[in-house]
Amino acid sequence: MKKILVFLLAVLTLTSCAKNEDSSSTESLGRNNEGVSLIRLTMPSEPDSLDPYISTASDTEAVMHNVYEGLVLFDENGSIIPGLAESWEISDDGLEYTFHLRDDVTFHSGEHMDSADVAYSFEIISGLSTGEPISSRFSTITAIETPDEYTVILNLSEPNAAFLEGTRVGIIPEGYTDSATAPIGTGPYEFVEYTPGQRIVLEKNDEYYDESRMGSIDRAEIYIMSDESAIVTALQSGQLDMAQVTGSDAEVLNRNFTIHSNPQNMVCLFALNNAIEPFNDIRVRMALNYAINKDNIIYGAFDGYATRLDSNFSPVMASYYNSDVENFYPYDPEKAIELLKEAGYTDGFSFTITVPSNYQQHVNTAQIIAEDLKAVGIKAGIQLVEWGTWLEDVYSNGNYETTIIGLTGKLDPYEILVRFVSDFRRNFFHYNNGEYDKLIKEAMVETDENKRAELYKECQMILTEDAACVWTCDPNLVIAMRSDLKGYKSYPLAFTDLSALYYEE
Amino acid sequence: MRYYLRKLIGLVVTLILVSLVTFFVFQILPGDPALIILGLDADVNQIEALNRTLGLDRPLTERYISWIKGLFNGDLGISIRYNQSVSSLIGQGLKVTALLALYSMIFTVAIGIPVGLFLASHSRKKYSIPISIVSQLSLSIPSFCMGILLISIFSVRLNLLPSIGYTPISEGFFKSFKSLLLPSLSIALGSSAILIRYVRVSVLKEMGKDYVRTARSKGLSKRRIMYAHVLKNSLIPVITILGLLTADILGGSIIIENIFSLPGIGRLITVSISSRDLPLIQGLVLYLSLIVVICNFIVDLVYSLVDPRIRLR
Amino acid sequence: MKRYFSNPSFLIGSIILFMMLALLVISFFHTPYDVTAMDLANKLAKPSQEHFLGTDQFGRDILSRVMKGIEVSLLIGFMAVSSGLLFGLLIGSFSGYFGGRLDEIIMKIIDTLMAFPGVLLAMMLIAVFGNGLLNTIIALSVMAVPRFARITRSGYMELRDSDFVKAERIRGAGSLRIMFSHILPNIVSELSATASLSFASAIMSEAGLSYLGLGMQPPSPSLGIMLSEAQDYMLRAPWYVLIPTITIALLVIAFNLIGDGLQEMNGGVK
Repeated sequence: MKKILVFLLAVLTLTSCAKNEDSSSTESLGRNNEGVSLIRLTMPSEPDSLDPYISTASDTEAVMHNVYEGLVLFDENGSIIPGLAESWEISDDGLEYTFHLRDDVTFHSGEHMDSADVAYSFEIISGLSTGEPISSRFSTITAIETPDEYTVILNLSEPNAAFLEGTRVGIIPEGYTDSATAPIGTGPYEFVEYTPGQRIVLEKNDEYYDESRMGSIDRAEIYIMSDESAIVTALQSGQLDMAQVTGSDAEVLNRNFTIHSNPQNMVCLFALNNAIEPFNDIRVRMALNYAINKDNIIYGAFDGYATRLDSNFSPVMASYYNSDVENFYPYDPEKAIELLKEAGYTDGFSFTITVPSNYQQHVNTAQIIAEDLKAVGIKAGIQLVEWGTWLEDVYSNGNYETTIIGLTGKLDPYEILVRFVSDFRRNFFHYNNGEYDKLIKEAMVETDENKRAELYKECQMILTEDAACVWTCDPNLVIAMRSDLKGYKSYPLAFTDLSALYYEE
Repeated sequence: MRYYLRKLIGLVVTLILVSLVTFFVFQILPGDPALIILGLDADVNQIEALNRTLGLDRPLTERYISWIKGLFNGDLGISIRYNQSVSSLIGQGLKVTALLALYSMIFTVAIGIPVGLFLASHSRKKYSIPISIVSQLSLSIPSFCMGILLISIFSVRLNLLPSIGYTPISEGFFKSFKSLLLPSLSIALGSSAILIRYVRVSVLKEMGKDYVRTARSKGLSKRRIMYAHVLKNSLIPVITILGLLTADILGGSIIIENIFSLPGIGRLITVSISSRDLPLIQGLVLYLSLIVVICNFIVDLVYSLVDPRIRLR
Repeated sequence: MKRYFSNPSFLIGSIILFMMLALLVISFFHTPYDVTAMDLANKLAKPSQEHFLGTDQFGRDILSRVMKGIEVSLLIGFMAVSSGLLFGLLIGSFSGYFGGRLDEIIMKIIDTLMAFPGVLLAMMLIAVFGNGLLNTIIALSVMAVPRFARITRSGYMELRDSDFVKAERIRGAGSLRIMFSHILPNIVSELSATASLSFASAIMSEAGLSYLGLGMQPPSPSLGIMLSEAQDYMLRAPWYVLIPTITIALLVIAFNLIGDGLQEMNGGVK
């Protein structure tokens, strides 16, 4: 017995000694042994692909947008700003886009960037060289011209007001095919390594062309971590410098950490299958909207770190947001019961909420909804399913009664609202309204910015009036950072802007 | 010789069965790998394109058969989720998990056998009761709770040990050992408690046997009997338990690797199941069952060497 | 019976189990609060007079939920162990008694099952059939079958050639009669020890599965679900995570001690 104790003590002492000799430097100023400044942060899931033309996951984009840059970039308000193209013109018919490229950009591989690289990239993006566009939004590109070294002209078959926003997709060097394993871009950070299951490492691009967006921290280690308590303990023990946390943890972490909490342009909703009974009856859908107390969800599942929603649109996108939908259905269980009676459900009814089990906040939301509905005589059972099963059954096949999900933000309202268009392949709500379809199509080709915004606002109102879903909230992105780490910028799109961050000496 | 040959054939049959079971599970499991990889924001084009690049447009049975064919050439195929060769992924993960399992096993034995012996030879309650309580507690707290508990003590409060990530041996043995110390302890505390019980029971059984009484009456000291005779004989059943514990430790590593963010086999298992990565899960299951089967095989062999009667059955 | 309670492990185990059962019985008639009733204004309240063990993230009373949680854990443990025992016993007895080809095939299948680490097997089963009480029980009993089958088989193999079985056979007793009225009673004590230990590991596995989001469905108050939910609030409400942990630990300790006691007694070891 003594021997074991001695052994254990020896192990502990040895390890704690070893600790002291190597880690003193990492503690104070975010520097590692070689005196290189370092930031350690997290991403919640494995990258889907490092290839910018395969990847669609927002978690991946949040990181890789530091490596890849497109012709245009976006600022903190979600507005388009010049990127690799310093300016551009759009023809009056909206069919010809002319981009004037910067002449001082080099790839991380050291090659100079010119129009040939952009043409090569857009040939893949549009599918002109591969036969298949990387996404249907690029299927309208018919020709790519490069009149000179720094000009690129894209020709479209039909006008699309959302096209410019799409040109923020990353540009890669001409002829490069290894993006999936060794990404090369032009961004302020370059890719160093990816260890599956563990981390991605990026390093500062010292050759970056724009002084104002040049990074300050030399090296970034992004750990793939999904376990909430593991993240919090790692923050507290100084093994992470910055991480996304839950509202609940933020309430405690705010003693020693800087907390940034911003809406993230996400739409969390309680989706109803509009095609089946009883949800095909608008009175039932309205009753559900009246019966659910959204403030309870915001407080109970998100600890208050969320913004209430009443349509399929987050107020962050201020220029397109319709504030008239606010509080359209106030919490009113009496009215809900009345509406249910009208619809012929005097004794209520029962149904299942199918929830992806990997999102604790959705599971919590489901429990609160079920409890609220109990009060108006509706029995809601909760069925947890694995994420893969959810995607197949609910999202792809639309085979469900109700579900809870968060839809990630987009910069273009079309991409947010198209989910409710009747012939959209992923309209898992089975929502069908001819007028809505018409308005969305009009907005898509409308080039006048103000008119376009009006059309989208109208669309939001239609969704709310039809009570197509019960929209709950836009959960805040809550970031905890070491108190000496400054410069955090929040975007209406998944993007962790490493170049803005710096340590206060 | 025929005995060993039959055992060997049995081993191969088990592995084939394991692979078939996995295949059938995936046959009925809903979920489209490309959709899972790309998620909610992908449009239908992107999913179809990915399916084609990954060769997922072919029927599952066809893919399985070509996977089997590849297996005979020593090729485990390409992971769908990571787009890397399965053998290199398993190789990378194995470096972590093998070390984790090794340390866990060392801790288990280093704690389990001495404490078990101690409990068996000291029936005085002064020692045995506190030790029993501690060992019961460590046995009854699920390993992930133990993990969280150890993290909150050693990483958060004392700030002594890291709680995330793995440092490879190439960066220094000590740093590497430190990065695996808490995870392996979280596993070992539970499994050593199991070992303690088995050691204790098996030693006590052995001490009740006639030859011990004879030796006692001949005037041999208790210590002498313990170490020269009882220990050797009573450790044979303990070997079986060590074989079984290997499976436990590997199973435990699935959860523990998630808590400590270790890029090991356990992480790969979770990801491969949730992303329906058939080549990867097949490779993993094959590899895992190989280890477990080999452990049992070794146990059987040791048995039959010790007790030749077993071979006759 | 007295013999059993003179064994300290068995005695302590039984006392703990008895207390748990008492809580369970009370929960049938009365819990301080409704187990699913929410009171969001009172979320994550510290233990107090109104809420003896505090409240959870929805302001639900933790004591009431633990009381019901014991019921769920015991139900899952009982169903998983008894079906595991039943199938394990049937498989093991036929396999061990008759031996030969059949035995070899069955043991191959059992080895296959044992070759999967338990958690992996359960993960795959639940991925296929979905979460829920019944599926959790099925997954856990599949995990338990091999252990029982192996123990039964070795018991039968040892006894099938023993003198009293030979004597019965000469007297003309049928195989089934020999198997179940003569051999079985001899291995009951060993099986009951194993059952008790399996009970403990089923409770732990349920917690582990729920932790991975693969076990029971909320808002059912399973201890595993409570633990996995509590985990997110470890920082803010440490007591919330401690309570289900301690309850699980107590249940597991109770069954382990009883199992130990049974083992000691039939091994003749004091």
